[in-house]
Amino acid sequence: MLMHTNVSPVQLQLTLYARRKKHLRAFMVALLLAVILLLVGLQAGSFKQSIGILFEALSHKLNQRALSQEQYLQWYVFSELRAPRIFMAMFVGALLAMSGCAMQGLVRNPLADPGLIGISGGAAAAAATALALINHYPQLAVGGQYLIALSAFVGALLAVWVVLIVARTPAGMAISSLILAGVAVNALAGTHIGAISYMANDDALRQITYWTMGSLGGVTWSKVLFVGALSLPIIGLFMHLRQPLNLFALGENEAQCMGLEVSKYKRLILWLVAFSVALATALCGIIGFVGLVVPHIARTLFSADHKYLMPACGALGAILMLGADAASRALFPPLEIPIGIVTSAVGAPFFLYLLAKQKAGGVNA
Amino acid sequence: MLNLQNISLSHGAFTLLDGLNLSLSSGDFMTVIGENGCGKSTLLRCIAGLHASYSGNVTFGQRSVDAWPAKLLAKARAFVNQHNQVQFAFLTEEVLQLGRINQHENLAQSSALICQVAEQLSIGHLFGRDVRTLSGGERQRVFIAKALVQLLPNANEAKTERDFEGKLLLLDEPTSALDFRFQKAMMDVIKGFCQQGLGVMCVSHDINLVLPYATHVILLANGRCLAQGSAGSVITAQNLHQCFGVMPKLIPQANSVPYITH
Repeated sequence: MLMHTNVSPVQLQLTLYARRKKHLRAFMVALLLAVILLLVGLQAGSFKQSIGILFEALSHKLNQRALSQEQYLQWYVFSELRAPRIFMAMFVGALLAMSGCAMQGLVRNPLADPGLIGISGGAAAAAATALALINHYPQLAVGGQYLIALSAFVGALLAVWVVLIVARTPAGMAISSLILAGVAVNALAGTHIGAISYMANDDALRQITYWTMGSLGGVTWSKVLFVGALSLPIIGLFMHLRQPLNLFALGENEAQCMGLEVSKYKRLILWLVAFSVALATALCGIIGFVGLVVPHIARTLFSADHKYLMPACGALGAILMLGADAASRALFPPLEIPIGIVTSAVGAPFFLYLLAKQKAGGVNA
Repeated sequence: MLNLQNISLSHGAFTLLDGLNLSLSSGDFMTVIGENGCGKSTLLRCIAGLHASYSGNVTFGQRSVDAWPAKLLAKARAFVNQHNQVQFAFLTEEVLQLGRINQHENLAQSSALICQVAEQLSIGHLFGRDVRTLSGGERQRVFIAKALVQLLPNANEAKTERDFEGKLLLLDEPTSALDFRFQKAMMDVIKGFCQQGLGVMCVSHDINLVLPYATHVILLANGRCLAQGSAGSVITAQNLHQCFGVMPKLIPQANSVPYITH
């Protein structure tokens, strides 16, 4: 024995239990906040929803009585326009934030973003191509929406695939070459979009620009169900990655020595991130900074331990997107600002603040 | 417990390890000594299973180290790197908790084991601190503690005096950042675990510190073994001269391990 430091196992156990309880409480507060934002989100926008009339409409529907015109209108806006949007916002927010959390954990850098490995660049380039094609060949416009979503999805995965191929070495995937390859692929995608924009007519140009700003407009229940059905297993997988990410935080060698199959998990994390961001981007366009900022906020509010961080990111991502969606409708009614602008307007300054803080302190949250 | 047969590793035209043979039993404390870049860390990494491209056999507990399931291996051997960095705000006790990641046990059981090790390495007062704010020496103690926590059997397995039987601890300069007091204290603690069956392989430049603890010494030069055996037989002025290229002075001590000076 070296020194008497009085660590009591009971005390440590109690501390750990207390921490778990504290995080659980914070999580509950987050959920409460989500509910409040949900109600605010309902109200936001050019059309005012009345909770009272909605309840009346609901009870009439349940009792199979006819709705008045006012009730019908309220119900229609709620069930066909606002509600699917709100669900979509939550799913997309959770996916993007959890992807950001996994990405930062994997590369061990709190300034990493899923876009780093070329996902959004690839998606944007492919979507821009599809938009220009649709504009040029009107006969494609029938399934246009789906064509755009599909090509964005495929483009995103293609970009990631190229990045992973380039970064592959005999000893496994090298994180530094991963990021450099991502930079190159993003630049290539930017050039491609530039070329298409240069050749496109005004109409296509506006659509491309609008797409790259992200939007939750035009969300239908079928899209929500589609995303929801895919999101649940993805979120489950992200939750499964919590302890592996904790080990990654100690470094790859350390993780390997502690029994983690590092290269297998690295691939799993990268493809999972790619798949979920591609999914979100394909349906809603580019929504920046959620994946970067939310893990930071969650780390400050909760803990760096991914056991708590991962679910916290899911909840906060959903909340942030709900808020951003409400803001995008409420700021300049009847105009609706693209949601990507809202998230970037909040996220980019926050990112600068983080950079400045990191430079000043050398330690980041 | 650990057996190396004809281990060689080269990187392009550069030979890192060249036909090494050695064996280690439970309770042994082996010290690896050699000049900078002679392959000490590479050797440890091969044994840890971090290098895949070597030739020869590393047998650990009756099977090849590469044939072990990763999680099982992690319970039987731990590796303390020379440099340990954590990028996020993990607390000391959270890092130690990660050492129990492959065990099926409750929080009370893991807390008891963690506190036991923390007390022996006197890092209990660092609980609640962000590991990034610890000093180099404090962090080194935390990571050695984490490695020991990783090797401890869980409460369901029979508790004996030989808790560490068949387990292997690989240390890459474990005392490089430690102060005068903790250098010796750390060695005492690790030696204590050796008496419970732990096999230790320790790379160190602090020859005078580790030699009195070593049951085996191996001298490396250019990836080759110059000499191995007990400290008394390996540590001669001639061997050290061959290894480091300078002639040391050996001052005889009471415990038959000489004190080495320039």
